[in-house]
Amino acid sequence: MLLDLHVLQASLNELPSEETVDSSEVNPYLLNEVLRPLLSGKVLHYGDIDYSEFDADDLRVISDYCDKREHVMHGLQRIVNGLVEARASACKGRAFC
Amino acid sequence: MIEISEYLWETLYAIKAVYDHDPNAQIFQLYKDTAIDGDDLFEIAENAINQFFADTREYFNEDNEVATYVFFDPIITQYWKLCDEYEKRLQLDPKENRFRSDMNRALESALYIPDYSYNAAWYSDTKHKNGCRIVILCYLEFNTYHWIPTALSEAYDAFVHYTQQIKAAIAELDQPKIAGLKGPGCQDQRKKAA
Repeated sequence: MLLDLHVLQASLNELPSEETVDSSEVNPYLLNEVLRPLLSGKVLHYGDIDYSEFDADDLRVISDYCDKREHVMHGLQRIVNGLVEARASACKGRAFC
Repeated sequence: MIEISEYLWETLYAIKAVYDHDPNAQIFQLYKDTAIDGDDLFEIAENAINQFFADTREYFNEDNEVATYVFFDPIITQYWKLCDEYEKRLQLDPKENRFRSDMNRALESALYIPDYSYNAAWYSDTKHKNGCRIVILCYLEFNTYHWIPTALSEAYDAFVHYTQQIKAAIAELDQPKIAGLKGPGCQDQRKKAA
């Protein structure tokens, strides 16, 4: 199978930006003040957490959310790995002038 | 890509149970400056387990790799003593005492942990040499330490709740006798009791 990266890029750019996994059920505090900072590499301490902002069930919900998110990420990673491992093929038509 | 440890939420789950029980528990001071990464789940869960009852003892049998937690607390002993008193006052068999059956059901529910490799028991005999206690045995494949604090929190709350109920029931035992008193001077006694 031949894949034109130029066409792929253009197609991806046309797609609307949306969340890969629905986060509407996730506690906003855990999502915005805990998970997102951690994903961006920020170091959080147990003393930074406001435990009154969520309940125990919210932790189960965000854990499920992270599982689903990770599943999607692994799927994307497989696609990326497939592209990286593909052998390049020279363009047959004239590309310049 | 930064990945989040699957244990991170479990660690917060253990600490959250402590917070809901006592927001000023010493565990918050102890781990105030510890980075959240989920690597210290077991250590934090172990500390969290110690935050609910007055006296928590832990034993580990290296031969069969069983961790045993034993919990003692005045609220546990007091409750079963109140059960004894209630039975004595009403001349009930312990099996007929609804406060025993209610508490047994509450503890069974509270100490349910979604893990096949554990066992929980409680001892209500106030005359036993080892005293009234709750025991949790974690076998080799037990993998849900973060759940124990929640179980203990619910067990503690059950003791608080039913202690209030049984105290009220014992107090009520005297009420009909006083209300039924008739004759001179009894009105004063009723007012005093009220």
